[in-house]
Formats: sequence, C-alpha cells, structure tokens
Amino acid sequence: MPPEDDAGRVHCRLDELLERRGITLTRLSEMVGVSVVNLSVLKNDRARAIRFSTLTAICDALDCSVGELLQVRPG
Amino acid sequence: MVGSPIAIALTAALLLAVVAIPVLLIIIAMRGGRHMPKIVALVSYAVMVVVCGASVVAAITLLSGAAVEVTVPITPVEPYLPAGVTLEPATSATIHSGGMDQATLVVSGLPLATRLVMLAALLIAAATAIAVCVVVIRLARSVMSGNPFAVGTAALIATGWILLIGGVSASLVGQIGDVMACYDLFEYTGGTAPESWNPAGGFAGPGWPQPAGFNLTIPWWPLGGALVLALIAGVFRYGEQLQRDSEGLV
Repeated sequence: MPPEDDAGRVHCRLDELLERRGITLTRLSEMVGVSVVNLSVLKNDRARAIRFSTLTAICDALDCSVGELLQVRPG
Repeated sequence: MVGSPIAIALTAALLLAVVAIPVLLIIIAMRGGRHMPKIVALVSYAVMVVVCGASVVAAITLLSGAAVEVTVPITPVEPYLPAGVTLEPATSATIHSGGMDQATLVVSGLPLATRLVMLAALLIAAATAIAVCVVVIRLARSVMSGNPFAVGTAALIATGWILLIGGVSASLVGQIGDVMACYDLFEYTGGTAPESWNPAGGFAGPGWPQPAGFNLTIPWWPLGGALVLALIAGVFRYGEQLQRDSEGLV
C-alpha cells in the first residue's frame, strides 16, 4: 500500500479550469451530478481519492484531460 | 397460592410480557430498526437500574445476616418411600438411577465468611452485567450519532475479557459460596437419636442431606459471549478500515 502522505501531493486544477471556462462550482455540480461539497473538497486539494465516474464526468463537462485536471507535485 | 386466580392472572401477564417484549423488538428491527438503538439503550439502562437495585438489596440482606434463599449442592438422594409403603404408579414411567442433587432453602445465621463469598459472587456478576450494559449503550449511542464504529475494537475486546473473566469467576465464586453454605448447614459434630433408630447409609435418606463437596462446574456461556464480542470487534475493525478508506473520496 502506498504511503498515505502521497495523497497530498496531488493538486487539482479545477479552480483554474472553471475560471477559464466561466463555469461556477454550482453549475458544474448540476452538470456532473456530484455535490458542491464534494467538488469543493476536490477543488481545495482536500480529496484523498476520486472515483473514475467523477473524474470522467468532470473531464467531459470541462472538456479536458485527466492530466489537465490533476497534477502530481514533486515529492 | 399457585392455583389462585390472581396468581394465575399475574403469571399469565408476566409470561405475556416476557414473550411480547422480544417479539416487539424483533418487529421493530425488521421494519428498518430506526428506533432500535434508542430502544436497546433504554432497555440497557433499565437492566442497569434493576441490576444495581437488586444487588444493593441482596448485599444488604447478606451483610445483615437476614434470611436468604440459597441453592446448595448435596450428595444425590434417591427418591424413596418409608418401609412398608407402596404407591400405585400413575403411568408406566420408572426411575432407573439418579437422585435429588440440590436443595433450595431459605436460611439465616450463615457465617460471615460464607456471606462475604456469596456477596463477592453477587458483586462480580453485577459488575459484569453493568460493564456489558455500558458497552451496549455506547454502541447504541454511536449508531444514533451516525458513527457506528465510534466505540472502537479495543473497547469491545476489553468487554469480551470482562464478560469472560467476570462471568466465569462470578459462577465459580458463587458455587464456592453455595458449597460453603451447604457445609455450614448440614455438617454436624454430634447428636442424639432413639436407641432403636439406626438408618443405613447415614442420615441422607431420612431427610438430612450431606454436602456434595467441591465439584465446580465451569460455565461456557461467558466464553461464547466473549467470542461473539471478539467477532463483532473484528467486524468493527473492518468497518473502520472501510470508513477510513472512504474518507476524502469524491
């Protein structure tokens, strides 16, 4: 099992992607069917895991790739 | 008094309550059990109050030296009839072997040592029951607060040990107290009897039983209870793991 601390190295660029596309978190929540609370957790890098279904829905809604949404910071 | 209408009515009401309460709880549980934790907690509180009250009353009775009911083990006495007496059996059932191996008596004047041993058994049993009730209440509260694994596996395993050690020791100490009471009651240093009276096989037949001696029986139910608690602790450990894994999942 990988170390738990490594989860904190994943940075979510949801904020930048939303701003660039002029979409609010509430609107994205309606589009992907994920609660605003959970999207906020993801946006603020407090998420420790993400479902493939959530990832796919966000990438579809924002028309981006997984690499554009998530970045792994150097350890 | 067993045959009186009031006694029959009271017995019937008690039996109905004893049957109805578990049935009611099962029905509530099968309907989703939303109120089940609250009911379980209330029942546990009630059990604690009854155990505490009954223990205090029994302890005062024992310490004061007042009359108490004891069930003591005796050397088995075969059912017998006095010489010359015959009975017409009601059915074809016959006794092949065995006998009456315990006596339930209301006694007073037991020595302090015996009463203290009986009190110790009572207090151990009460403390064990209260410890189990406390953990049940904590479980019910954690379910009501939406965090069913809050009690933790350590508390459950500790309760399992308390149940095992408390249950076994309460039973063993209780049996020792009963044997001590039996010796206190039936042992004799001498006596008198008519010249012509010489019962074969001691006085047990004519109605003065002999103590059975130390023949302690280890109860198995505390081990079963402790194993069930250990199993629940294992389930909780798995639940905690799942809960931890799902934290921060979006």
